[in-house]
Amino acid sequence: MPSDTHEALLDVRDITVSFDGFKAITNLSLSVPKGSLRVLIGPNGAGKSTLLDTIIGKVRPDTGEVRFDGQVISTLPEHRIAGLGICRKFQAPGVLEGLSVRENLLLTARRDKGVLGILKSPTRAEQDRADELLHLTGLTGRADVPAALLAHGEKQWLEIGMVVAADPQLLLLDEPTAGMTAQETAQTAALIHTLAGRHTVLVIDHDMHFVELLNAPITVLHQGQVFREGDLHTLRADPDVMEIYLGRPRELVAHD
Amino acid sequence: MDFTFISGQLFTGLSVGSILLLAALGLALSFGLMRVINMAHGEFLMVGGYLTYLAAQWAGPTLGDAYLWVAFPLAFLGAALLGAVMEFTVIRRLYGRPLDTLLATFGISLILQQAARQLFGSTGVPVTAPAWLGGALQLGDVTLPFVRLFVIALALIVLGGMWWLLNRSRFGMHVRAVNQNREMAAALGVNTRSLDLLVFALGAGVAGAAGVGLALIAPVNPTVGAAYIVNAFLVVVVGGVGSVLGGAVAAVLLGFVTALAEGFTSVSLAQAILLVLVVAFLQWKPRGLIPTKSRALEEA
Amino acid sequence: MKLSTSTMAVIAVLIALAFAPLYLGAYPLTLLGRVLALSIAAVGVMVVWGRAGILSLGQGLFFGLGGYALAMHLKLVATPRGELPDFMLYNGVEALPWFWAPFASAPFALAMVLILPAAAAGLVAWLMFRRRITGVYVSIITQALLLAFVTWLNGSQGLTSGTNGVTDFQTFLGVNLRGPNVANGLYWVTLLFVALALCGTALLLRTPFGAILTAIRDNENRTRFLGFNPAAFKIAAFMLGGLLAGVSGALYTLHLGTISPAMIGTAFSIELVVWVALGGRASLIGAAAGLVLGQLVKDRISSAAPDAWLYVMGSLFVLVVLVMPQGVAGLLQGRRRPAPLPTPPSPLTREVSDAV
Repeated sequence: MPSDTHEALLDVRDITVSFDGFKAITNLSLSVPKGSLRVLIGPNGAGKSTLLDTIIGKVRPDTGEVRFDGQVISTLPEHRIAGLGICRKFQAPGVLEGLSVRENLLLTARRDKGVLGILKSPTRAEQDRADELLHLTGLTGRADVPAALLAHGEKQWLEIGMVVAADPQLLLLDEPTAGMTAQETAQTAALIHTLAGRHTVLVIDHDMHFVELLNAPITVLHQGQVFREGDLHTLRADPDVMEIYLGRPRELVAHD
Repeated sequence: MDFTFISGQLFTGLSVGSILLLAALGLALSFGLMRVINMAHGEFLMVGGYLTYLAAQWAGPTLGDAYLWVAFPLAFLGAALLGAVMEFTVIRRLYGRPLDTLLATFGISLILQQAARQLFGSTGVPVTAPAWLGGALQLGDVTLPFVRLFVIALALIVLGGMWWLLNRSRFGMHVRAVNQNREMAAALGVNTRSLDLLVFALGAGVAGAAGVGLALIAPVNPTVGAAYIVNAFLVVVVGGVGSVLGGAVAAVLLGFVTALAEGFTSVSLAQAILLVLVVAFLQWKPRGLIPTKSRALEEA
Repeated sequence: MKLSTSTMAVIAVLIALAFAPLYLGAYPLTLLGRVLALSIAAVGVMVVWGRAGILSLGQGLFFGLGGYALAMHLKLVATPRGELPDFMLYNGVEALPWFWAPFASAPFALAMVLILPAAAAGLVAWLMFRRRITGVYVSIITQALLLAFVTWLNGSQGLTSGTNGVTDFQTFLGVNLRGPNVANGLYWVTLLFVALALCGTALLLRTPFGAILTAIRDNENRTRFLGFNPAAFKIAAFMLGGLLAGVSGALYTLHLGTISPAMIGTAFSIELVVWVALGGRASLIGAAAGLVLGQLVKDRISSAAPDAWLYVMGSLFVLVVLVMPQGVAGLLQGRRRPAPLPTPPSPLTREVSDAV
């Protein structure tokens, strides 16, 4: 392993992603140290979601590579990438609707995800973990309800519970607070703080209030490239950053 | 391998491919637009064939060979009307449930076949092709029957018309818009419901017209549609869902492969070889020759 | 152990079925045994379609492989030593084809009844799911493969007896198939296999394997990003469906004393699906019961009014799908299940703030 990567859990190296000739990401490099919390912002079309898609293998880079814990993952099938300990929460709640709330958590908490291994009943530890998460997410009373019958907010929480149950090394959160009340947003920010350290967390969000609560290093993407890195204060003072947000300048300043 | 034999088989393949193409056009349209597989689509061919038979029976004695010009509109409109009724009563109620639509339309195909069996009997009814289609064109040693040339011309005309309709008309613009993004098109004022109905009826009508061609080549029987439908589906799959051009290329390819394989082995083995080749092809290009790139399709 | 009402009902029905030879006449018993044999294939359809969401229109392929594997053995046993099966003689075949020879051994043939359908299903599934072919494509491809198989059977007079099918069996494992007590014995063996298939599948679906199949049906991509490989699970489910169809085919061959391409074709395969749909695709019992009752009704109507039968059948396809997509089992369950709970206001507020 090259020595410069030994601290980085996620190392995106010079990737380019294009769809039918349109370059969504151009020569982008990004490195996220183990145990850190990183926020990704940028105007629409900056390539934020495409970057996450590339990390989890939904999209393949034309050039460059993605390394995770020193290993090249941008050539692996999606389930193998997930198996290494990368978990993404999508924008729309991605709970498994045909299964009960408990089953959702149990499946995610499983260590053995092979065809033969699946025949074994969940271990005691996995069941305890599911119970613990049911309590944490306040869904204990709904444990045996099919996830399809949950309210929208409950689905969001179930999915956060699933993400925690997966106990991934790297957590990718795509606009986790979309559709949440201010109070719920604050709770989510607090939850993410408890996760960072043990997990490495990469968050995309538009909500500057939420970004402020996260109080973490920020990477600004613009036109598929890293535009700036820094903390919220430095970026707010940066005229170039304000410039790229010109279409919607209030986003950066709204909650001052 | 002698040249005459191979070119003869290729020509037969081209005419078989032409009918496949006409059958597949409607399938490709409705699949591209509504993500619906219509198992009763073959019965539109059958209906077109029987209407040709009826036209020959009724109009033949007075009009002579000109009955064919009655048969085309009759077959087209009859099949289109049947398609419209099907879309209105069943298919639109199953929107978003492609597998269930498949089952329901299979039921409809059973009903239509049985109705044909009771009306016309289970043996084929012969349609006499007009005398001017009786001859053949001689190109060296290769014999090209006029009937088959006529079917190929018919396919070319319909394909051209379809291309114009989809790419040059306002109707086509709406179809393409709905193909890309149904919700957005609806929000922009496209009446997606009536568009679905029209496209479905159009696909049915084209299959009905193909039925005329079919009736000229062979007797019409209740299972004639079922015989063509699986290959028509393969054309859609190989061509790329929703792609008219891909469907055209695939139809000709499948026609060639079938005709060549039939020339060298038995008919049954040829069919088996064709199906195995198609499955092998899908290993290489799972989305067909000309894949449609659409986020909506990704999510489906 | 506490048994639910439905489990007890199933046990009661199985017991009643076990004693059927005592109170049913010869024809009804034969008919019942025959449709019970078919219900094993329906259990397979329930797993593949109801749980994994894969609509296979080609189950006849696996059914046929199981049936032909047994039929080849029965035919060789019924042929005098050193001679060729009658249909080969008529078709001028001079030596026993290589793939027939091993079927003279009963253990080999019985093993093939299980292995051939499962392996074929595994191969087909691997080819499809490896390249992420889904939905209606799978339906079309499975139907096309079945059609290829049937067309090949029909065209290979000398190898498979073509459209006539393999027939004229005498003995199986030393038992004279035309003996006096064979009907009852065969009925009980069939019932045993039905019970095994139901219990085995029920147990399997209770493991997390069942949950994963549901998850894949509902949201394949999500399952993938949770670290599961959907293709592997779909292949496993498809193989199980193929295996059950194969066993069903072998039993059905024994019941009818023949197997032919017409018995396994497109119509058979799609009919299988519609009976499962009628009974309830998501319910094991619904699928099996739907097939058994559907076939019994079919026997009645199609013998009384053959012309009307296809209309009934066709309308059934349309009506089941339009009016009760979850089948009769779904209707029964819907009545029992309470309405969705009202959503509690602002969930988990306290718990999370506590935890944080």
